[in-house]
Amino acid sequence: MNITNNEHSLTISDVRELTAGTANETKNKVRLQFPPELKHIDFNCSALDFLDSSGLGALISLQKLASERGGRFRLLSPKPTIIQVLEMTRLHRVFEIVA
Amino acid sequence: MSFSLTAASTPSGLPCAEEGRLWLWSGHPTLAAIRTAGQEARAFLGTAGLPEEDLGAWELLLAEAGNNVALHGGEDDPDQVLDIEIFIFKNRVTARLTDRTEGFTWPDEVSLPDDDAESGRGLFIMEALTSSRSYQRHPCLNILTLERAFEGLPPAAAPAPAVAAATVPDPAQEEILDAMTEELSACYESLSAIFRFTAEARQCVSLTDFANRLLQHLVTVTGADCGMLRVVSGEDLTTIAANGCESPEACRLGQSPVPFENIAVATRQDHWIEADPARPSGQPQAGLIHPFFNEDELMGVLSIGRHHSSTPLDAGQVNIIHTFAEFFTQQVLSRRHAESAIKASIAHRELELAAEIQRSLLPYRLPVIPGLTLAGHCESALTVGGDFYDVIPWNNLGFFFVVGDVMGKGVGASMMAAVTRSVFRSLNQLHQTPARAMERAGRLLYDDLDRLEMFVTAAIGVVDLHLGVVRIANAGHCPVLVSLPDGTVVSAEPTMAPLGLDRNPACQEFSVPFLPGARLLAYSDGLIDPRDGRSPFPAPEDAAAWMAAHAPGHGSADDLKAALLQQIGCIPSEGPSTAQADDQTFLIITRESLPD
Repeated sequence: MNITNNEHSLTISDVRELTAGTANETKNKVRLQFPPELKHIDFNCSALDFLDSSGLGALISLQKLASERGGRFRLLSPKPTIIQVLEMTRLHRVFEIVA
Repeated sequence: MSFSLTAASTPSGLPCAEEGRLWLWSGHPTLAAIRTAGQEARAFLGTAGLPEEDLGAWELLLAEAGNNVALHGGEDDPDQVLDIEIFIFKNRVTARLTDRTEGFTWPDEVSLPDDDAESGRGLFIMEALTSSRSYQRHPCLNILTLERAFEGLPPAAAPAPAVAAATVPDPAQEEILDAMTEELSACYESLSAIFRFTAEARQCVSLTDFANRLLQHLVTVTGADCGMLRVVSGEDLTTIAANGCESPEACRLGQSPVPFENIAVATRQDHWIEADPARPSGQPQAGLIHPFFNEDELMGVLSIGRHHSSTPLDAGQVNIIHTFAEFFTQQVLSRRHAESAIKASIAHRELELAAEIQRSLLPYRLPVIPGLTLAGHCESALTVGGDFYDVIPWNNLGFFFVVGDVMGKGVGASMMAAVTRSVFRSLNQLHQTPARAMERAGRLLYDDLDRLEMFVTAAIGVVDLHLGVVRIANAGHCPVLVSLPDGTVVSAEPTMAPLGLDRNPACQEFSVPFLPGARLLAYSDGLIDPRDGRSPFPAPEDAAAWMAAHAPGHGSADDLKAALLQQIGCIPSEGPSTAQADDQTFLIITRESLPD
């Protein structure tokens, strides 16, 4: 997982899986590396191949994290299989998805 | 540990079929081990030729089912073992997970939790991805059986020629390609439409026409049959475009007659229209209400709906709606910016013209009269101001002068200054008697100034070289200072109220000797009471004292002007200082001393 601060938002990328086994670690790392001066979070899904219900919970947690600071949370470039999971759980209407 | 078997060696108790293959896994249910098991199961199913969609579904199903075991005590207890059995039938796949944890209760109805819940979706996913399922909870054993139907395995065929194999589509890859094509198509549709609409926007199409075309296109590409675009206008939401539905009247923000629009505005989030049997007929069965913003400012609400179907919009369609709303927002902002720029440009040009006119009203070149030198200065605090001065030759024996100040600054004051200057110029028959000229000007200007609730202070005078005097009339203006050759300074104070305050004013006239060596200074109040900074002459007496100190030592009007500019902190080449709050104007007249 790669976390970069581009001055306007925190971008998370190179995440291949977001599962029950990785969700907590991902959330904790982002929380620790989310500088107080930032409020937006972009989750680059271009490398994400697998997402389970715990991973969805992690995404919601990150969205709350940004929302607490009045920021936005976006999912960038999710693959069709990831979009299918979001649509199945109706979370595609909750997250801002940038194709 | 996992291994696969043929149907002949299927363990007892597992549903069996004549044709099929079995895959088994057994191990301690940690999250990491379950993830690995899921990947291995996927690989097994892949070798059997299941479609890509089913491979993904089973990978996710096993993750959800196995994680439940791990999280309900399986991972923490080292003695726990999870057994996973997968059997492929002709048209379905069955998986059985056996564990010995405490287990959990499978609810009668599984539904999604609240949108902001961080857990509770696993059972829903398992229900959504399976055609049937059962969970048996026993005192020392729990068995979860999941079954998912599929269209069937491709028939086993003899190896095809290499060329033919290359042209036969792989169903799994086809599905991926279909999904990618659909997504790309949506992106392409958005992009091409945006290019087209951008070109239209440049052709001065009205915002309403533009919005209607945009909405019509959006309704089509999202498979909807109605749409509405409403924008914020003051405190109201006003319909700017409607397609396939009736346009409501303007309404207060948050009190919309459009169903759910006020919820979307209040929550600042998309509101989904979902199938609801209780909804009156004639209303959309599915759709989305999308409030859009520029930073925190609500710009409008874009609603898209389907009457003919309750199928929700998919992620690609939602993305198109968001993209179009953002594009429309940028168009609105762009037009606002253009309008502001035009207005600012017109206002700036008007100010430039006003300043040009005002400069043209000042004497282009001061008259040259033997024995006299003159110097003037007029600097406005803004681009244009209300101060002015004028010098008019009089009978080759001297000249008539005016220094005036219209109440206020800016274009209005400058226009009134031009009018006042013209009035004094027109009174040339009275220039010899400044008091009469001032009274006449007062009467002529009264109606206009009274209507505009303005007034003008002015000091006028005539220098008469023949008699060696200067006659001065002062209407509410700063004292006119005359420094006599012996160093005495005479102050010609106001003897009349400012012009515009009295319909029939009466004025008294000063007559002061103006012999060789005399100097005259007429100035505006900008020199004594600037409103936000240091005053070079806090009181009129200070100006008189300065005149007494400096006038004798400076021979020409230009010399005295340079000294005065230094005193007031103004460098002519640099224009007014940033702290200058009021217009600053003065006129200096000196009568040359006789040669020794």
